Amino acid sequence: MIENILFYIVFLAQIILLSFYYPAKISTRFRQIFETYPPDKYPKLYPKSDEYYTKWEFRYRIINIIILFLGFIILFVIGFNDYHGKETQSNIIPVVYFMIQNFPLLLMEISGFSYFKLMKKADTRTVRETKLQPRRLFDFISPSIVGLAIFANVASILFFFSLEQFQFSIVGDTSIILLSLLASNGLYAGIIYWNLYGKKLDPYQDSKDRIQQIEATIKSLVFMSIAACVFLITTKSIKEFDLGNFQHVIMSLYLQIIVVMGLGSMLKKLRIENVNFDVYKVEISEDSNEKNIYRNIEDNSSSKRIIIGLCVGLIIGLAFGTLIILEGGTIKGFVLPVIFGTALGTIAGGYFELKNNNN
Amino acid sequence: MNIIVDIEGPDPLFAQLIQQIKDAVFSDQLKPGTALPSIRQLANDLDLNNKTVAKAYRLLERDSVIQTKGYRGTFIHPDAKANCSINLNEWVTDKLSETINEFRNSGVTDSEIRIAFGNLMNKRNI
Repeated sequence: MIENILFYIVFLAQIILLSFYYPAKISTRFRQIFETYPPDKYPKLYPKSDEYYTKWEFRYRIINIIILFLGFIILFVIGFNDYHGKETQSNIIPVVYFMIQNFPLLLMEISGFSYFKLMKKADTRTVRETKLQPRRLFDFISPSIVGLAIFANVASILFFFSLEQFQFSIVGDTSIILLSLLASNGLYAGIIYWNLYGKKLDPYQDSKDRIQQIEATIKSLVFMSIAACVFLITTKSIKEFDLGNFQHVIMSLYLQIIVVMGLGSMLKKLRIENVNFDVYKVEISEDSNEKNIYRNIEDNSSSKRIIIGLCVGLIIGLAFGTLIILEGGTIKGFVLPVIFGTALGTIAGGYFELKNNNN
Repeated sequence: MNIIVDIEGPDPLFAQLIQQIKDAVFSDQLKPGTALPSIRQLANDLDLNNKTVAKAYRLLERDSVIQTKGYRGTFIHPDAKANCSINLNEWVTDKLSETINEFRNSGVTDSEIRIAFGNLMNKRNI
């Protein structure tokens, strides 16, 4: 009973945090930027028409409200089933709902690619400037924190191996966990490398703002890597100590922690008042036509590579998931390939979209 | 220190990079041992081709203005300031001018000089 009540509280926190608190923060931030730095004075910041941004913000809010109510319905159904003694697959619910909660953010990221592409298209400057200064990982994060992340990863690997008496099996749970750790750390390393040495998406971004953005990204990813290790050790430990009923509580808590560490810390560190918006300003007379150069740019991209990647990943994931179900697997065995497939497909699509943008 | 390139400027992009780095060394903005960004970083930051930056770095290394220390990166050479004063471009131009004048005085036509120079540069047998 206690684990059910605990789950209701934690899942309610997940619903509110990801579908109300952060979306409200993003919407407020967007409106604040739009009002403080309007399109007529900062045309470089708005390559599309004014209506596009207001419509986008409205849609973002509506989608999140729908997801918020969906969360309440799920919570009610779980509670109802628990009351009537029916079993619910509540272990997997926080993950599936988390995927749905992240859908608006994913849409935002996808539209971000075409937004920056339009910015680049409108940028007619022939003079380019940068600092002649190398960017290195330890300029942005303390070596001790990176050391801690490495230690956490090595410790979790050793922990899992010790539970299996150092007997390695390719099809065992340990190898799947190791593979997940390797994949997530590889992804984090790729993002960090791209942030450090890759092309900047926003052509006008001030170098100080870029440094701040890189620092915030690297720190949140390293902490997320540490959190993943702690989560894996905790879930395995509660299984070993026969506390498996708390697994969905831990899962929901973990998902909230990674959002707080990722999105939360980015919103906290990259404050609007600290961003240099003057780089988007155009100082010309009102009757001049120069402002229009940066506005209403024709969009030919539509981010189709990301959408294709997402669809292909989803189809492959669904195919694998169905195969697992047909072979007598659980819902967890179905959902995991779908999540991995979709994520990998989106990442691959994003990579090709970036490559195309740079060309 | 900031580096600026004009993609529509009269000078080639690699020459603009070389000149600015040399100027910075000469004016003590870049001191011996100062680390420089990697080729990829600088190329991406300036939205240039990697080969353009690599060419600039190669020529600066040839002139001993910078030095590459394996995986540790690229640094300003300890004798960079002294080496900056040697302008190989200017030296080649002077030498070629002298030779061309000598040929002209001996009665060789400009087209004969051009053909011979072209053949030599293409490593063909005359």
